[in-house]
Order: sequence, then structure tokens, then C-alpha cells
Amino acid sequence: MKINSLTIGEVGQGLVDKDFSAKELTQNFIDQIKNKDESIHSYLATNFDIALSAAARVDTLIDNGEKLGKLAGVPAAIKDVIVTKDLTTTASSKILENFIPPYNATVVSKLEEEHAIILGKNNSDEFAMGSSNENSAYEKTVNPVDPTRVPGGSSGGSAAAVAADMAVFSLASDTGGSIRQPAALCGVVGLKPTYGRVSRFGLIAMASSLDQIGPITHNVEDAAIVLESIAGDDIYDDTTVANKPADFTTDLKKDIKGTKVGIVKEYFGEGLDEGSKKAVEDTIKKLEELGCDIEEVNLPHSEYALAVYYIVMPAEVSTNLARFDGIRFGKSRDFFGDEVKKRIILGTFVLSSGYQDKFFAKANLARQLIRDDFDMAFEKVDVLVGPTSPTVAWKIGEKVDDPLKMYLSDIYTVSVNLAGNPAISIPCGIDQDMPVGFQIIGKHFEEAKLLQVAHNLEGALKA
Amino acid sequence: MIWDMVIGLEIHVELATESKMFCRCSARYFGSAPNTHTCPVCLALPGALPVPNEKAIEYTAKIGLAFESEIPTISKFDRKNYFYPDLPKGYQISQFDLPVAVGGAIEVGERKVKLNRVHLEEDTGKLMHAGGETLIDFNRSGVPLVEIVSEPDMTTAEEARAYAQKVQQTVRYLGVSDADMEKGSLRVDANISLKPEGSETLGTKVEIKNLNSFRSLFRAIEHERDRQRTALEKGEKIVQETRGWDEALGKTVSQRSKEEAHDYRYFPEPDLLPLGLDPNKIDELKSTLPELGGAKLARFCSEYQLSEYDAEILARDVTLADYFEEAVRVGSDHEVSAKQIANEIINRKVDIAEVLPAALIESIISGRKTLTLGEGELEKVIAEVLIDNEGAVADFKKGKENALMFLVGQVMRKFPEKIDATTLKEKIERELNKTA
Amino acid sequence: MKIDIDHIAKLANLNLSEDQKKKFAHDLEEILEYVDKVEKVSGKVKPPVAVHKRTRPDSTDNNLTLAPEDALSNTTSAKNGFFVTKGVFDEN
Repeated sequence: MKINSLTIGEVGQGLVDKDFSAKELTQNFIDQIKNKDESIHSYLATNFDIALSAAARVDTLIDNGEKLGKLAGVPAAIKDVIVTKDLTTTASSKILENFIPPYNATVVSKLEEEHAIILGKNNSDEFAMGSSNENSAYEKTVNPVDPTRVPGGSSGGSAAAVAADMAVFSLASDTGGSIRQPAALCGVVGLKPTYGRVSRFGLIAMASSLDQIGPITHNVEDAAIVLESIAGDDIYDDTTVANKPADFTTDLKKDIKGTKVGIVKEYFGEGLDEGSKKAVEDTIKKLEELGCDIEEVNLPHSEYALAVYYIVMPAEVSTNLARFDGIRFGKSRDFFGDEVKKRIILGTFVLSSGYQDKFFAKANLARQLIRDDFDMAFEKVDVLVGPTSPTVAWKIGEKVDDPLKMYLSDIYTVSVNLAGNPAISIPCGIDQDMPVGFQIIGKHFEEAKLLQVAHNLEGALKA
Repeated sequence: MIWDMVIGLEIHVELATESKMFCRCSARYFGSAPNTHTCPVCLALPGALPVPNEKAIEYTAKIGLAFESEIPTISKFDRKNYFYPDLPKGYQISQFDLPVAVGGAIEVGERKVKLNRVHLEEDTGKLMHAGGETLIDFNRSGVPLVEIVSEPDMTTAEEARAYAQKVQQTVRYLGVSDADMEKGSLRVDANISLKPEGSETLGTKVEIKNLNSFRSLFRAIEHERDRQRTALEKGEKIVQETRGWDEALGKTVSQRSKEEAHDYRYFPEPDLLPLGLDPNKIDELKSTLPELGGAKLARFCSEYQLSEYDAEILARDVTLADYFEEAVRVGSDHEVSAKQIANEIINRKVDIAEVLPAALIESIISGRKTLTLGEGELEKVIAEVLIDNEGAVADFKKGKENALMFLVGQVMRKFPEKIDATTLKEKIERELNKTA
Repeated sequence: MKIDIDHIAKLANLNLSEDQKKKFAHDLEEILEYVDKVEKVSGKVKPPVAVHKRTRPDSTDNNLTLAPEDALSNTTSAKNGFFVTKGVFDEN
């Protein structure tokens, strides 16, 4: 068995059984990266020496029979929008070329506490703005399944790294679908937790009320384990919520008979590729076979979701990126890429005098209605399902000149960020030789249920 | 044409908290080496997030309560967006439409000046200009700042100055700030406009900044009034702008590039949850308010039969007021009156940090014995008093007997111990007649 | 809907080339046409709900204060412990 295709559980077991040492395992991933990444471009920075030292320390802990963290010896990567102390963090932008943060994001500290091995920083769209990773100011990441196609975005590098076995998991960020969509396009699992579940302290902010950090993994169980490691309220993030139990693994394998599943009618309309539609519908049948009760639900304000997103998100972006003035760090604002500049302009405009009521205020109202739609739907069902992406991965360059077309690739994912609910994408089939992703959306702070459904479904699909 | 002046003041008070408004860096930055009190949050590094300081919110509510403002149960922070090198995030976290305190009034002399609001925000870094460069120290960035906004409700420079002094006195009394204009922990900006006497329509207002003392405030307002009046009488329009007070030149100077008013694009701060100000907590804060200046002054007059002059001096500073009342308490066991104590403190300029109230009482008691002064000591003081009181001397020479008693009193005031009044009167009379 | 791109770029502290201005203006007009649909939504926005949670006590415990070398570590232009920028003469 290739040891770089292992899951977290398998790594743990392998270390304990002494099938391999942590150092050997890490070296294996380093070799994999050196072999493959020149053509995939999923890493912007690597941390190999420090990673090997960290792995050696894990081996010492094992030898001394000491307590191991949940992620001990597990080689992982981190999307380059999350700050890592003493390791460059660029947000995939030239403006932060050579920026070395003097502090760690909370989630990075937590991974280190669990003895994870950090291999390096993953490529992404610049400042997480994009759906294809083509907006990176550095090399463009390709889809490991078909290198002529995009890996999705903005966490394209993270999804590609996991899909190509160059990391057991990657910690990424999701503002409008940036974890789920690339996971779908690359055939891996991507989880966006409830807004407020995971600390954003150290996440280079895109849209403060939408951003959330989450794992991209090989399977659902790994996502659950990583979530347990990073979740929790943080004294450095006022938007994290306290007193939310964070056990996502105990009930993972319990069956889901009687679970009420809602199919979102609005997600099966025009724009959804036939091949993707079929894969998703077949998957829903599997849920039925698992004993779930399926019903159709409506999210009537879905048609406004993308419009709301492209008002609220740029507005928040325009102010979050105001700190990049080249004085305390980074280069001048001229070094922002075009997509970033464009969104800053759009955001500044919708907040500007004379336009704020028309755009920003109205968008907030529509957002409230979208959230109410979800709350009402969740009075009837336990989870909502549908496709993650309207299409499978498209060819590189195909959508770059059509911004609206590019934005529409997020059509099924953005609502979830607007409402704050947790959601996961798992691979559910193939179309045109490319993976199709299945999205499951849960109630606020009920990731345990969400993961349970996803895990059971994953098992049924693999059977 | 008679012009009425309309003045509104915006006063910023830097709070004396331990930590900054949105991070845990020390807020005690004064005198520190540059950029030694900074962290990712107040330096606005990528990924940093704000977390609000509970005490700063309480202090703001206290200030509002002291000024009879209403404290709504919900308040929130907003982003005020503009670019300037001392503002590291490119926006200031401030409050727009739901401030901590709304309305209120401040007693100034006979009137009550109406307040618009009291809100909470964060301070900026400090700029220093050197050669063609600007140097920035972010130690002050993120320190909690309370902004007290009056309605355009004042009409004279005296009133504005008295208002500002009242604000200073009150926040010091509350113990929330040292409100020192020289140190920058109290900053005053004035908005001034003129309108024809009796008119309801306000004129164009001009903002005056860079006022470093109450004296500057007074002078700047008067100067600006004259400047605007001259312009209006010439038929010129007043330009809405910000002008800086130049102390050396004694005038206000237009600050360039203010033609385009800032579009601050205020919107709710998404990184911070709305604040809930619990009514029970507010009542608790109300009960912890110290007896404020005005009330104390009135009480000192009535309870201790002090003159308004003496009461004002003693009530002005909360530490002195407390000292005085402690001394009164001790003195009551020894038949020393409040008046005597007031006299002792004020005229002997007692160092209250050094002399305990009990010791003060003792010295009063021991001084009750008639004073034996050295030769010439009394003569020296008499000479001083005569020089200082030319008016009274002149009156005496004109034949006013009362003037003599007045002068006796003035000399006696210089000595805490009793002096034989008859002897003193003779001595003074002799002196006065010498210079006839 | 036409954007006054010069004015907005100024507010946003961005220098745009003429080409960029043209391209952005075009793209943004398209986007604004799309997002304009939110105008159709009606209703009242719910007022913010105060969420009582732990507030931060006023102490410097657990502070993230940086040593000055670290605070200045990502600039090359620091002088005597100060950050440096080109002269600003407009007193705010």
C-alpha cells in the first residue's frame, strides 16, 4: 500500500505498529512532492527541514511511550492564506511575496499541539478570490485527475495536494465554496464548518462574515478528526461561539436510518450539467437505501444568493484589504492582481455614498431572507443535499474571460456561507472521466450529524 | 448685521485602561520607545482580529451616565473607512448609528449644553514628520478613545471653554482618564458657524483642530468668529472645511485637500458581535458613579458653610475633596470647624500627599495659641499685602474705614495661627499713614 | 449602471492604468447589472441581536505583543524603531 495514500487513522495505526516511522512517512511525502509538484504546482512554499525535525520528535514520543496528539506524525499542508509563523505566507499574491508572519494562526497552533507535520503552504487563487486557481499570482495549479483542467478554487492547491497524495490533509478556507468546490472537482472531501466553529484568527481575511477554515481530506472520517482538532472558541476571535460540544467522531459510524433528507429543488434547475445531475440523483437513491426519508424542499430566495454574495463579499474585501498599504509589510497596492483590484473597486462602490442603500443594504436584507429559508427548511429536515458544482472541472483558460460565468460556478455553494451553515462535499461519481461532488448541508453547529450522514453515504458509494 | 455664533465641540478622551481597545497590548504607552507596544492586531497584520475591552465599554457607559445620557441595551461597532498612514487597517473601528450612549447634557454655568452622543472607538498611531519622510509609531494605535459630541448648542468662546473644562473635570472624577491636553489624552475639536441674529437656519460650519489648551480653544473660537464675520460681511461664502489653529500666528489656517469630503462608507463591523448592555449592569454602573463635581460643590457650600470660592477649590479635585472631608471628620472630634480646615488647606497650601488629615488637625489645634512672630516677619507680610491690594489702600486713603478691616483680614489670612487683631490694625494703620 | 471609476479608485487608494480602468468598468457594469436583482427584495431588516458572550477583561495577560524587531521585521525601510513612509503633510 502506498503510504502516502493513507488516511489519518491508517497513519496512526501504522506508526503504532511500527510499519514505518514518522520520519520515513514525512520523507515519503517530501519525495512525492519533489516528483509530482513541478507539474501540479500545488505548493508555494515548503518546510521540509522543519517537517523532518518535527517528525523526528514524534518518533521520540512514540519510542518513549508518551501521549500522542490526534494528528501525530500526519503530514499536512496549509493554504497560503493562513499565517504560519516564520514561514512565508503570500495569499498567493505578489504583494506579500516574502512576507514572513511573526505569529501563528490559531488553527496552526492547534495542529502543532496535535503533533501534525506541516509540509508547506498550498497555492490558491490570489487572496482566495476565484473558482479555478487561475488567479494565483504564481504558477497555476492543475487538476491531478486531468492536468489540462482546473482544480477549482480558491483552494485549488489544497485539493490538488490531497488528491495527488502530496499531503494527508490540507487546511483551507471557504468563503463562497472555496473548500467544497475544488474538493468536488478533484475528487476529494472538503468540509466547511459552521460560521463561528473554527477560529479565523490568522486567516487573511477575505469576507469576515463568510470566511471559515476547514479541512480537505481523503475521506469523511479524516475531516471529522481534523475538525475536532481545530474547532473551538478562541479568545482572539470574537465571532467564535463558546459552549459548542466538539465531538465529531464518536457517532460517526452510527447508521442514519430515519434521517430526514431534503433535496433542494432550486439546485436542480437550469445550469446543472446532465452528467453531474445524474451522478447526484443516483447518490440520492443510495441515501434512500440507507433508510433516509427523502423529500423536496424549497429555498425560494436562492436566485438572489449569487447577487448577494457579489455585493457583500466585495464590500468586506474592500475594507479587509485596505491594510495592505506597503508601510508595515508587503509591497505597494500596485502589486495586487487584476481580480483583486476589481473586487476592491466593486466593494468600494457598493459601500459608497449614494449606493450603499441600494446595494449593500438590500443585499443584507436578501441575505436575511436566505438565512430564513434555511432555518425554515431545517424545521422539516436534518440535512439538505444537492450537487456541489454545476459542472465537472473545466479546461484551463475556458472561463477566464467571462467573469460572470466564472462566478456562476459557485451557485450551489454561496448560499451556505451567507446563512452560516456547515456543509461538506464528497465524491459521488464520475462524468466525462472527471469527479462529481455531492454537497450535504447541515444545521448550525450540527457537524456531527452532517459528518455521520456523509460517512455512511461515502461507505455506500464505495461499496 | 448682528451675527450669532453656534459652536459644537467634539471631545476625544483617551481611556486609562490597562490594555488597548481591541487587543491585549498595554495601553500605557506614554513615553515608551516606538513600536514596543504593538501586536498583530493593533499593527493590522494580515489575519489579525479585534476583541473588545470590557472595561472600555463600561467606562464609556459611565461617562454617558455622568452626563445624563441614555444607555440603549444594544450598541455596535462600525468600520469608518479612510486611508492615512497612522491608521493601519485603512479603517477605524468606531460607532456610527448605535453608540454606547445617546443624548445627555452637561451643566455649564447656568445652562445645560445638550449632548448628541458618547461613543467608543480606537485611537490611531502617531506621526512624526522628518525631512521629506513621515515616521510612524503605532504604540498609540488601538488605545480606547471615547468621543463626546455636543449638539451645536454653545454660543460663546467662554461657554465652550467652560464646557471643555467640565468634561475634563468629570472624566477625571470618574477615574476613567487623566484627560491631559498636553499629553494628548484630552483633545478638543470645535465646529463653528455664524448665523444672522435670530435666524433658525444654521450657517456653514468650519471645523477647527489642533487645539492644545483651553486657552487655544478660547482664542481660536474668537478668531474664527471674527474671520467668518469679516468674510460674511464682505458677502463671501464660508467654505465648509477643516482649519488648523496656529498658536504662533494666532489664527486658523485652511488645511489643504479637504474640498472632497470624506466618504467614510460606514458599515457594521463584521468581526465584532453587537454589544448587549444589560440594564442591570447599567444600574450597577450608575450606583458606582462618584458624587460629581457640581453636586459636591453645592453640598460643600450647604453642609460645611463654605464660601463658593472655597468650595470650588476643594471640590475641584476628587482626591482633595476626599481629603478635606476626612479632615472634617477628624476635626469634628476636636472642635475644629470645616471652615477652619478649609482655610488651613487653601491658604497654607498644604501638601495633602505629605500631611495626613490627622496631622493637619493637630497643627490647627496647636496654632490656636496666639502667634509670636519674629521681628520684621509681620512687617514683611504687611508690606506684601499693601502692595497686593492697591485698591484697598487707595480706598483707605479716600477715607473708607472698611478698607482697613479688609487689609487686616488679608494679613490674618496669611497666617494660620491667630494674631491679635487690635495690634495688627494699629500696625497696618501706621504703615498706611507712612505712605500718605 | 456606470461607475465613476476614477472617483472609486481614489477612495480605494488604487492606481489603475487606463487599460485597467476600461476593462474593470466594463466587467463591473456587467456584474452590477446582475446583482441589481437584489433591488426586488422587500422587507424589514431585523435589528442586531446582542449576543451575550464572554467579553475580554481589561488585562494584558495572554497578550500578543511583539518585540519591536518582530513588529518591524517585514519592512526594509524602518528608521530608529519607526515605520517610514513618504512625507504626509496633511494633518488629520
